[in-house]
Amino acid sequence: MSDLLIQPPSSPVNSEVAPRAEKLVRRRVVDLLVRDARELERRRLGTIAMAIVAILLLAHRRLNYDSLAVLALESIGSMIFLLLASRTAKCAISKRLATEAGAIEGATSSAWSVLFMTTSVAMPWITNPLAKQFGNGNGLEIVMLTSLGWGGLALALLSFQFRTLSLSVVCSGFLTLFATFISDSPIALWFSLVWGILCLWWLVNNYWAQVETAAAVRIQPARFQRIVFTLFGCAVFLVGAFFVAGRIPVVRKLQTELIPTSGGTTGKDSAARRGVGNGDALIAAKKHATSFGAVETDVFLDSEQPSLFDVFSDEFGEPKKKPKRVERAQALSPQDVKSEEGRFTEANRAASSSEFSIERELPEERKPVDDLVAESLMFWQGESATHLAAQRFSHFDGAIWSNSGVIPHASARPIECTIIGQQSWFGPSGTSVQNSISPFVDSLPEAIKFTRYRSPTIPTRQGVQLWCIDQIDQQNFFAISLDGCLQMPDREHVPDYTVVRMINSRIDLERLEDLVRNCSPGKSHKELADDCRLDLNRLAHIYAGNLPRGWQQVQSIVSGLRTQFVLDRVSEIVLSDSIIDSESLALNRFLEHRRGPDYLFATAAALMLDHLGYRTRFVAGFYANPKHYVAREGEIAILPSDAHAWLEIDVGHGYWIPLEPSPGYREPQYTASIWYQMKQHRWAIAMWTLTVSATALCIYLLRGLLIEWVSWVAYPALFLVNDRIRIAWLTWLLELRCQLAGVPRTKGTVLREHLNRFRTCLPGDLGEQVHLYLESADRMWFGGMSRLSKSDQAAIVQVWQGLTTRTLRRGNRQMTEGQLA
Amino acid sequence: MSAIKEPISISSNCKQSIDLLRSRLNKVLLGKADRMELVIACLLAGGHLLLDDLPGLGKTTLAKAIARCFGAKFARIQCTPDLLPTDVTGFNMFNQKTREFEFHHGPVFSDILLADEINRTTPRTQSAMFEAMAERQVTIDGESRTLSPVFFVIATQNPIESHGAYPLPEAQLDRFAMKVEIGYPDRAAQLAILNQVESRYHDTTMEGESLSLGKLQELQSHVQEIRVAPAVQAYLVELCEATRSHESVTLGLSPRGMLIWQRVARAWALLQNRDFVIPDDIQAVAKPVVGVRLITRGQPSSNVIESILKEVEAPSYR
Repeated sequence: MSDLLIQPPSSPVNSEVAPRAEKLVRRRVVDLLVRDARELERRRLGTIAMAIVAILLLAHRRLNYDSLAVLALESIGSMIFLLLASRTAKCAISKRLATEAGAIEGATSSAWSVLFMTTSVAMPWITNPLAKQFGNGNGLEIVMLTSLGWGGLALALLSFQFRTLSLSVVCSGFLTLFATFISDSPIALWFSLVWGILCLWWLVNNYWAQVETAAAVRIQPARFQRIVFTLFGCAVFLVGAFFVAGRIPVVRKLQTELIPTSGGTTGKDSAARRGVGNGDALIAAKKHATSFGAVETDVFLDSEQPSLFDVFSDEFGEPKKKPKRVERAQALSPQDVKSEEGRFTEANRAASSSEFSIERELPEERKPVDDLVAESLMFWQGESATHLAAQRFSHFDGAIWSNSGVIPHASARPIECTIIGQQSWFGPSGTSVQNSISPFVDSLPEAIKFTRYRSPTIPTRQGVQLWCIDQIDQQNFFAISLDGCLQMPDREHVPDYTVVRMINSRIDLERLEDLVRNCSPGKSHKELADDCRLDLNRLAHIYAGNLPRGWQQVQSIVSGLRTQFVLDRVSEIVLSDSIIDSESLALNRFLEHRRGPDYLFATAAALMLDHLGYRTRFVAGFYANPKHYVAREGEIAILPSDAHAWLEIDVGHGYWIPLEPSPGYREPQYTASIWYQMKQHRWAIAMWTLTVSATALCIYLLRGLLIEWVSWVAYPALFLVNDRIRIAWLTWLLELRCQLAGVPRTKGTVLREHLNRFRTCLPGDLGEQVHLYLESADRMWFGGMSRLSKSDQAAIVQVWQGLTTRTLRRGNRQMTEGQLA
Repeated sequence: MSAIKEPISISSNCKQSIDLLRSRLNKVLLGKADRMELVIACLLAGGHLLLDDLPGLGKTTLAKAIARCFGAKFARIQCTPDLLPTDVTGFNMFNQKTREFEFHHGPVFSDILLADEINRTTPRTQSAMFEAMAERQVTIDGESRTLSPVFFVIATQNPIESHGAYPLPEAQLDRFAMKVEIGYPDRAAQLAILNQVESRYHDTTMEGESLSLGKLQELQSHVQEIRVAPAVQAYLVELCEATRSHESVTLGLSPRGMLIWQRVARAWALLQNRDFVIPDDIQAVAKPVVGVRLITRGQPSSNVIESILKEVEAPSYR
């Protein structure tokens, strides 16, 4: 750009300008060979120091929430690959500079160096998904920053140009700046101060001399051009912003708010502590709990957040009313009605929450969820596809699941408290969840955070060992009902933003099988219409067949339903509405049309298993849908649409195991030893082993033919490579062919001597071509020749095509026969 | 790491000289073309030759033929136990007439020297010979005298007679470039020998164009320019190291032996009309070159050399 006219004092005014191409070539040569190596190394040390400071700053930020093991693994992996890249790069350079023959090897080493460097920079991307599987992991921006840090260090270590070193400084500077801004700790400022000092020293040390020598005698600034370019840049920015503003979701969010709040606008963030317009927020049970007192006002008490009953009704439809009950109601005096009304209301309320009807009305149409975070009832921090039980029912009268008169909220099992690391943990006393026969093994730390949940029941998975809430140390805060559900008995609902941490278990398949095999048959206490019962029993026998009592039999019922039936929440309701007179026909319709909602799947499975002699119960709760994973939070949002029904089976000794008969929902995960899994899949393993062995045997027997095919396919590539590589490939191929023909070249035998034995037995002029190939190979490899003549190249091609395994075999046979003769 | 040299081409003049030499020597010793190649290689490499053979196989004839090929001065020493070092190197004798000491040159001052049955002379006399072979100069009465630049020694030793012999020590054997066994001629060659016109004084084999010592020097300097690729050098080094670590070897190859091996391989490549050495050349001259200096136990050196050649990976074209 001719904007500035700089006349350095050292260069004459009328110096000739070197041609552009020559200048570029000269610059590269200067960078690589002519420039003082010590200067490069001196700059490199400072650059490495800055990159390390930036990485340490980010690591310090990550240590606040990330796992040390993950951080260490990622760092060690990146360092190892960086060191490998550095080593191979040095080898590459030494080989290239050594001999001209080392240029090819040098290129190979360079390729390895690039691969190692790329792996090092990409290490955060590789480890992050693995970390998320174990409940750790980072957001996208942290992963990008970490990659940037390692990229800066890689540039500092591996670059051989000053420009690349400068780029490393830019990377580490950006990382330092960003990490300082997002860090809460004051120590981050010290890191950035250290980086700043290093950078200043680096700049002064490396560029001061250039500034001095390039000090201009006179500068003529061109102001007009500066103004024009500035205005042009602004115009481009504004026009571009205008065009993209309404089209990119992120920009749309920025239009409403810059920082996500806890409510008020659409950009809600469950982790936001401060914000504008708190809406329904009633923050409790956290460090920064606040209350603005409006909770005492009736208006605010009447919240729109759904209760458990509301959730199920919204998702599955309202239970159909029973007109006959009303008809059988007895008239009461006004005073009795008044007193009964309250009781009736309470009883109704109690009954509606302690039973689940499979005869339901059509649910209201719900609009699709825009914002998972805003619409969620709670957040699950644990394994995806987990079944969280909120209600359990063991009695079925043909239409309604209930607990046969048992008050669900009455506490059934005492709770004991254990202090672990200054935190009170609670668990059911008496029979421990894990013992020698329990199917529940391992310890899984999980948590659940409530946001818009209006029920005192805490949804849990089967096998919960311990739970806790920060700062809660009273056992009477919790209760376990007769149906095994965990509750807060003295509260209307679990307070918003309460985080319940749990230690859960996995289900061991081997123990489960033992338990199921040995558990005693259960009593049937489920009433059902005869025709429905006959259909279910018939299906049960079809699916279970002649399987003996045990886990396989149970699984056959579940898999039969999953494969033969279709999950359809809407059609059942539509069908039921079209039939006027119905009495417990939902199950009939389900069996007839083979489609229906999940509660009918659960009901059908429970009844079929009951017929086979297993005690079952109906469970209503929530399903942690993997599709509702909120990456930003690392949690799964539980929405009202995640309300789900399944069943549990009694495997004996008081253990209940969840079963998932609805297709589209993942079955509960089981754990088993490697040996057990292999035993389960032994036939598949045997088949695969046989297939692989057979394939390998075929390949081995036909290896000669395969090699010839490959050489035929690869033949055109001969014309794309240089003569040296052509000879190398042919040599490799000939040695392989000799091996396949049963005449391998021994270690100490020169190829020339080895092939010369067959030359006289080769057909046509192939012997002569082989001789030409050997001569040309000797000249190229040992004689320093760089190019072959046309005839030599043609000879190579002819030998490639002509000296096949079969030809060698035949030649060897002829030679042997000749010797014998 | 050797510098990459531009390949040289073998001049036709050079080839003609080699062919002439080859044809003449093959006429002298019938049926021993392969041995003659080794002898010529040794000559071109500037080394000395040890012939470990029975009497009457043509050793003297060979040496004389080589001398006649190049018009070189030939001398012969019959090594006996009473041979003195001065008989080999020469001595100063006082001339009564001139009243001065005159130096009488010994046989080492010839171009081609045949030392017959060298293992029969005393070690003292042997050492005088070897000093001349190694240094190409002799020191007599404090005065050094340079020998011929193409000084070539063919030494023989009789493998049968061991009584009264002084076997050559290892250090002395290392002076020789190679050891060759001529052996008996085959049947056809023996018949040809009988039919050959014998003339002690008229040798028709050397008629026609002859070579000169200058030509021999030119050929020898040409040998030094033959290219040895780094891969071949690495192979050579591996072979030498294998000779030192072999279980049947008491004394392996020294660096001097390694240099001689390379030199002889170069000469061999020149004889094959190549301006570069290939691994085949290394293997071709392995037995004669290594055999003279390898001390083995339990098995003959030729077997050990064969096993070493089989064990060490030969360089390939990749």
